[in-house]
Amino acid sequence: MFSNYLAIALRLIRTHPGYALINIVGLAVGIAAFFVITLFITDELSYDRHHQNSDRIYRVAIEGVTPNGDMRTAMSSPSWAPELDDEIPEIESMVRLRPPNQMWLVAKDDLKFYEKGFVFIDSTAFDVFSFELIRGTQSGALSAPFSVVITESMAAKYFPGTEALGQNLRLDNSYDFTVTGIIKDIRQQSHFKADFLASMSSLNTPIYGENFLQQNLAFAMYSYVLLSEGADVAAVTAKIDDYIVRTIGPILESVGAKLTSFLQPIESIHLESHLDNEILANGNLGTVYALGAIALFILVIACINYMNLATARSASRSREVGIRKVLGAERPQLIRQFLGESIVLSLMSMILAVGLVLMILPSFNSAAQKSLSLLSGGFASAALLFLSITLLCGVAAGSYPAFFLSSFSPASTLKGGNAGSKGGGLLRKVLVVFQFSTSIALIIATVVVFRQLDFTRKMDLGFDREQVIVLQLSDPNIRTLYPMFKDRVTELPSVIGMTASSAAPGYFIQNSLVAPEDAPQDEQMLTQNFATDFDFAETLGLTVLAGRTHSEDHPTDSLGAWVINESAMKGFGWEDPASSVGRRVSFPGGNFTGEVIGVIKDFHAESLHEPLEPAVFRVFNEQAYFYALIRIRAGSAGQAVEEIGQIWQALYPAYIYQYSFLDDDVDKLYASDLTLGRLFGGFSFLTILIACLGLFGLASFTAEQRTKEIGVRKVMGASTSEIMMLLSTDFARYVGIAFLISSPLAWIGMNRWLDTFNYRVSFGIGTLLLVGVGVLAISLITVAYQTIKASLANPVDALKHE
Amino acid sequence: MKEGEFVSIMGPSGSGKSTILHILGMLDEPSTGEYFFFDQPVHKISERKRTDLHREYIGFVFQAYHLIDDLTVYENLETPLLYKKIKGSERKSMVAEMLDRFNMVAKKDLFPSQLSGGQQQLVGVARALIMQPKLILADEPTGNLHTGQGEVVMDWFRRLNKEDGVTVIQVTHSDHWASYGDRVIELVDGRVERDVQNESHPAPIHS
Repeated sequence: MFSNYLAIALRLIRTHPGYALINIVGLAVGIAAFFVITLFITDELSYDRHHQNSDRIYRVAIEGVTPNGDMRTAMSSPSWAPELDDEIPEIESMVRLRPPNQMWLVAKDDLKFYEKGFVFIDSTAFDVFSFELIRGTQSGALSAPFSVVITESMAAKYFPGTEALGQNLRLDNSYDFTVTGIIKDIRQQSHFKADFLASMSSLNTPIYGENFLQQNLAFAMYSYVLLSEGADVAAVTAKIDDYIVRTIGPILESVGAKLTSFLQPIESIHLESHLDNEILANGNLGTVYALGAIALFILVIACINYMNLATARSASRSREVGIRKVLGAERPQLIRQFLGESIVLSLMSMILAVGLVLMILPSFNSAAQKSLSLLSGGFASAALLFLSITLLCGVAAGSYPAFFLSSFSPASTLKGGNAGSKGGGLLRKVLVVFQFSTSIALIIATVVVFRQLDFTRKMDLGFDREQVIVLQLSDPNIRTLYPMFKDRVTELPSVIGMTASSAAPGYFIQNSLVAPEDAPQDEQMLTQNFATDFDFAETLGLTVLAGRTHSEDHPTDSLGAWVINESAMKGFGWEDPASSVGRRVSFPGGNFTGEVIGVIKDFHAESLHEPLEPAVFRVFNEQAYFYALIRIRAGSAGQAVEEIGQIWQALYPAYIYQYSFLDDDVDKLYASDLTLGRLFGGFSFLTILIACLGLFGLASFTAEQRTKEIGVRKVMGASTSEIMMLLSTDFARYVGIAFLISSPLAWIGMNRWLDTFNYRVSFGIGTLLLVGVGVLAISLITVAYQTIKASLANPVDALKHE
Repeated sequence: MKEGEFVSIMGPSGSGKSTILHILGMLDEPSTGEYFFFDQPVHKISERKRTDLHREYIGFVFQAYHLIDDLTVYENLETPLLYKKIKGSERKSMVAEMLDRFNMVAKKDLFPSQLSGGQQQLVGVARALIMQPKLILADEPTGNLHTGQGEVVMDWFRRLNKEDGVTVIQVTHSDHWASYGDRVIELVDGRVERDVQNESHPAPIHS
C-alpha cells in the first residue's frame, strides 16, 4: 500500500512540479529553522548542567540597599565562603572563584597570550564542580600556592608535543605556576570561562594585595556552595544573612547600608541572572521564549502552506476520491493515503532541510554568538529530532486535507459537481491571514530593534566616541611606565591628545559612596568613581558647564580637586553648576576630601539600558589607570595604531600590544540587542518567504478556479487592468486584515522591549504603516505573475472548456 | 431485476437514469422505497456492510472513464485489489490476466492521458471486471466514444453477460446501444415509462 502512496506522491511532483516545489521548499525551510532554533534553545538550557550535583550548587549573591541606590551583585567578599562552610551544617562544600579583572598575560618562554580564562579557585573545586581530571591527582592538585591545573587545549597551546605536567607557566611576567594537573576542556555551556585553575592560596601574595583573602567587605569574589540533599534554601539564606550581620553589620550600619544574601541555583544563572559583575554576558530567558515562539510559528506557517494548497487543489482531487470510493476504498484508507502522501512530501523536505541547516548554521552562529553544529547533540538526537518534526509536520499538514477530502461523497464528485471547490475557503482565508499576521509582527519587531540600535549608535552620548583608541593597562608594570608612554605617544603627529582613567565607556565602572563634606552620614550617595589622568574631558570631548577641568597648570589639582557631573550635582542637592564650584566633597570617613573645580554635562558611560548616573572624577596616580584613551586625527587610524604599537613594543617588550576603538567598545554594550535584532531579522525573512511561497501557490489556484469568471468578465468588456485589480484586491484584503490584527500586538510588545532602555526611540503609526505597505507590496508582487497571466488569457479559451 | 440480465436504461436528461444507477451501486441512498441486493435490505444495512457488498459484487464503468490520472494502466487496474487487501503475488497474476484479456500488456506502463478514449474506456471496463463482480453498472459507457470503439466495449459487456453470467445494467441515450440489452427500461421524470423484453439481437457479436 505504501508503495502506492509513494508512487502517487512522486507523480504529484512530476505532474504538478510548482505545487510540489512550493510545499517541499516551504516545509524544508520551516523544518530547518525549527531545528536550528531547537539547537539554540537546547544549548541555552544546558548551561551548567554538566556538574553532577548541579541541582544542589548555588552561588551566593548579595542584594543591598545603600542610602542612594540599590545594589545587586553576583560577588561576595573573599573571607565569607570558608567561614560559612564551617558554620552552616547544610553547606557540604564551598568553592571560591576569582576570574581576572580583564585578562592575564600567561607565558611559557616566548609563547605569550592574554588569557581571560585564568582563574583562581579553591582546592575544593573538584568537590563542587565536575571537572574531569585526566592527568595528576585531585587531592592536592590545587592546595599548594602557585599550582595550576590547565585544560587539554591549554596544554596543547603552551606545551605542544611535550609533557605539561610539572612544567611552569609565568603569570604577568612575575609569578611562576607549576602545572599540577590537566583536565578535559570545560564545556562552553558554563557561566564562567576557566582554562587555567590556579590555587586560591596563591593569592596570599601581592597579586590582589596581601590581605585579599581576609577581606570581609569587598565584593571581589564569586562564592559557590554545595548544599546537602534536601537542604532548605531559605534557612541557609537566613543563616548567611545572620553571618553578615554578625561580622560586618556595624560597619554597614555606620554608612547606612544594609545587605542581604540570596542563593542562585547554578542552573539558572545563565538565563536568569542579570546582576552587577556577572562573569560573562549571560543569556536571556526572554530571547529563548521569543525564539521558541518564532520556531513554532515558522513551522506552523509552513504546514499551513501545505494545507492551503492541498485544499485549494481539492477540486481536482475530489474526483480521485470519488473514483477510489467507487473502487471500494473506505474512508480510513483514503485518510491514510493523504496522510501518507504528505508524510512522503515532508520526508523529502527533511532531506532538503538537512542541507539548509548546514547552510544556515554558520550565519546563525555568528548572529547568535554560538558554535552550534548539526550534530551538536549527537547523531541520534539530531536524527530523532528531524524525524519527529518531519512526521509531526507531515501529519499536521496532511490532516486537514485528509479528513476534508476523504469526506466527499462519490456520487456528487463524479457527477462533475465541484464538491470541494467551495469547501475550506473560509479556513484558507483564516490561515493566510494568520501567516501574514505573524510575518508582519516579526517584521515590525525587526524594524524596531534595528531602529533602536541605530538610535543608540547615533545618539549623542555626551562624549565623542569616534577616533579614540583604547589600550588596557592591565598590569602594574605597564602602569608604572605610563607617564613615559604618554609623553612619547603625545609627540606623534597622528595623535591629538591622550588621557587615562580607572574606567572607560563600555567597560566596568567602579562605584563609591560620596557626599558633600558637611552632609550627615546618611546622605552619602553611590556614584561612579573615575580616577583619571589630566586631559580626560578634552580627550573624550566632554562639555564643561561651569568651572574648569583638571589641568597640569594647577598643581593642587592632583591633591584634592573634584570634577563632578550634572547628576552628581543634583544628587547633592545643589542648584546650579556655577554655584557648585568651590564646594567640597568627600569619600566616607573623610579619607579624601576635595574642592569641586568644575561641573561637566552628563555622558553615557554605560549602555542606554542604564539611566545616567552621578559621577565624580579626580586625578590620581598612574597605578589607578586601567585604560589609556588616545584621540587620533581623523583618517590616520592605521598610521596611529602602528606608531603607538612601536612605542608600546619599545617600552613594554614583555607585553602584547592590544588595542580597540572606543566606538567598537561602546557598540559591544549592545551585543545582545544586536543578536536579538539579527535573529529576528533572519527569521522574519524566512517567515515572509514561506508565507509568500504559499501565497504564490494559492494565487495560481485561485486564478485557475476563476478562469471562467475572468472569461465571462472579459467578454462583458472588463479590461486587463480591471481584472488584475479584481484578483489583487482579494490578496490585498488578507494582508490588510493581517495588518489590523498584528500591528497593535507588535506595537504593545515592542514598546515593552523598548522600555528596557532608558533612552529609546518612539515609534508610532508611521513605522507600522511602512511595514504594512511593504508587506502589501511584497505580496502583490508575489501574486502579480499569476494575476497578469490570468488577466491576459484569451476569454475564448477559458469558456470553451465548459 | 434478475441475476444474469442485461438491462438498458434509457430516457431524456433529468429523467433519473444516473440516479437509479447510483442507488443500485450503493453510492446514493433512495429517498423512499426499498432496495434488496440478493436478499440484503440495502436501505437498512450499515455503511460498512454496504461497502463490503459493493466491493464484493459491483463494478462501475463511467462515461468519463474516471481513471486516476496519476496512476499507470497497471496501477489503475491494481487499485481495487489493494482496497480488497489481496496479496501481492495474486494481485500481479490478476492484473496480468486482465491486461492479457484486453490486449493491453504493451500499454501497462502508460498513463491514461497517453491513451485514446476507447482505450481508456477499455481500461475502465477491465478495472470494473478485475474484481469479478456479479453486477456491472455502466453510466453511458459509450457516450464519449466513436461508434467503432463503442462496439468493442459493448461486445465485451455482452460477452461477459452471456459467457460469465454477469448482470449488466447500462444507462444510454442511444437506441443502438440500448439494443444490446435483453431488456430496455425507459424512464421519464423518475417513472418507468416502458419496460420491454428485447427478443431479437440485431447487433451481431463481434469477435
